[in-house]
Amino acid sequence: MQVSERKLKAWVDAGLIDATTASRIREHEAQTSRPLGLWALVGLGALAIGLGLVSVVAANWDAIPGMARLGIHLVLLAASGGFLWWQQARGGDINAHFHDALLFIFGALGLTFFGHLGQVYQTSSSLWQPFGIWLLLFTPLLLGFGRGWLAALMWMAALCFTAQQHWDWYLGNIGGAGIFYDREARLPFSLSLYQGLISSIPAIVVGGAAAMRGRSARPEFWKKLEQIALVLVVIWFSFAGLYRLIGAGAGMIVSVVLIQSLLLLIAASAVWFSRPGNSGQATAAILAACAITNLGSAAALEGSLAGAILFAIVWGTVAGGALHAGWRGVFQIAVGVLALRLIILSFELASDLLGSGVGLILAGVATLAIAFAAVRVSKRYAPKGDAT
Amino acid sequence: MKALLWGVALALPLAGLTGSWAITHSRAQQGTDWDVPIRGYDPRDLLRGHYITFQYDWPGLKREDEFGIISELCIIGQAPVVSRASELSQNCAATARMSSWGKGGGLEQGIFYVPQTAAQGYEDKLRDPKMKGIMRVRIRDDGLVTPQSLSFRPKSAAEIAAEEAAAKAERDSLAVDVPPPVVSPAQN
Repeated sequence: MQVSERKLKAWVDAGLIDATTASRIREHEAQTSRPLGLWALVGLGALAIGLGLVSVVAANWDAIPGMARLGIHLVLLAASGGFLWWQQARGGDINAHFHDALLFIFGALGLTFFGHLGQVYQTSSSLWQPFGIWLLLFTPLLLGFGRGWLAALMWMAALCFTAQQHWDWYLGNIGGAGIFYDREARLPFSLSLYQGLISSIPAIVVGGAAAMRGRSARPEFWKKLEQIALVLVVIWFSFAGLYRLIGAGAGMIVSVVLIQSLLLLIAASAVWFSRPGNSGQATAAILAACAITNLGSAAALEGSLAGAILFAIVWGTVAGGALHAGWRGVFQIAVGVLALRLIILSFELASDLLGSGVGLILAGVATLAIAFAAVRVSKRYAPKGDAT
Repeated sequence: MKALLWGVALALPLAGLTGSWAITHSRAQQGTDWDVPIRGYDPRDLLRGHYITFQYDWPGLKREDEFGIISELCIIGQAPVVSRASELSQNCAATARMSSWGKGGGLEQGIFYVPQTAAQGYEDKLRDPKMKGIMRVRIRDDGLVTPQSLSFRPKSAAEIAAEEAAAKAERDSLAVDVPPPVVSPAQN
């Protein structure tokens, strides 16, 4: 924890500590803190060595026979795995970021091994296969021993990419994603279930991570995973109107929409019950808002106003949840996003006003008013401090 | 207990990757080798990074439908020489099937990984109108076609003549007959 000068002064003013204690804290922090610049240099040095190694291998690529290259790759994997094991066996208290960086390198070596195999044996396959096998092999390590955002992000990115690739390949074989927008078609339930499940993966992860948070010795990891997944859910809904992202978009058939909303509500209740408290309630509310707007977008409500209202429901809940839970940064982002969406809406509506200069003037005035109000709201109502 | 779990979590990926290598290697040994002539896919775009894309020139193949994707081919001949390839299955020495995993394009296209330093040499040879590329492929019992190695041989005079005749026929079929200009007195 970094103790800032501002905090020290605030505590002294509040009478929590006296001036002597404050100066002792300052001394202690000065002695034990690691300078950021040093870490940056270490990172740069490591990166340079890594890049150098890669260039040396790449330059002698054809001089080294395929079997030997794969053998070297495997040896590197074993070495990094062994180093990880040794670090833990020593009983040392490794920095969480360093630990995750080692996990990341191990995982990256594993992933590139599949690409390397394909190159040596001249094979190729749809990407979901190597990524899927990688997930099977590395999930116990990442989920069981990840400590922070890097491991969480790596796992989540691999999961989403594998799902998207499989979805792309599977639908490519049966006619494309358009079948889910054709209200007349009679699709088998298994297909709707597949579509609903695969598009709800971030929601399922939010629920699962929230449930694990109370039961694990590494709550920080599950918290980061939950946050990353929640961000993905909100982004998905925000862009649903713009792109036909996997499983998003107005006009989708009812069975898929119902499955998606149901999974979102299940995730919301999982969060509500496993994390009682303001933060858990806020997260559950956001998921529930997404579930409701999903139903709304399925009703194929046309028009810019309807789209804006659905958007505002989701982001309004984000802002409200941030107020409730004390998430300062999130509240400010939410206010900014809502303001931006309102401005876009005002331009969308103004274009209907006979395309005259009057319309543009009104849109411009609205933009200024919204921006002014947003800044006032953001300053005045933002929760103090960041209690996530 | 925790140390044991940690050891298992680390050993699992290592074991899995080694297993993947072993499975890939044993699968790669199955099948018989055939020599198939190839031509470059697009002379301007022959190399994308570290692999070449090419088209198979299956000998004796007569297409029923010019534009469809070939998903299955009957190979007639004595390995590794392909006498003829046909879309009808009769007396096949081997059957090649399009892989369901891979990229679309059927059995007419393929990619071949080459080392970057050798890439220019391959590109020059594929562009040379006097040289013919021969791809040695391994065809498995289930039909999977995997390229093994690429070699070149000079084209025979008959082959060069046949290619020139085919190119000329294509040019003639595309040529548009230009009607003589009609001259009429100007109307005022």
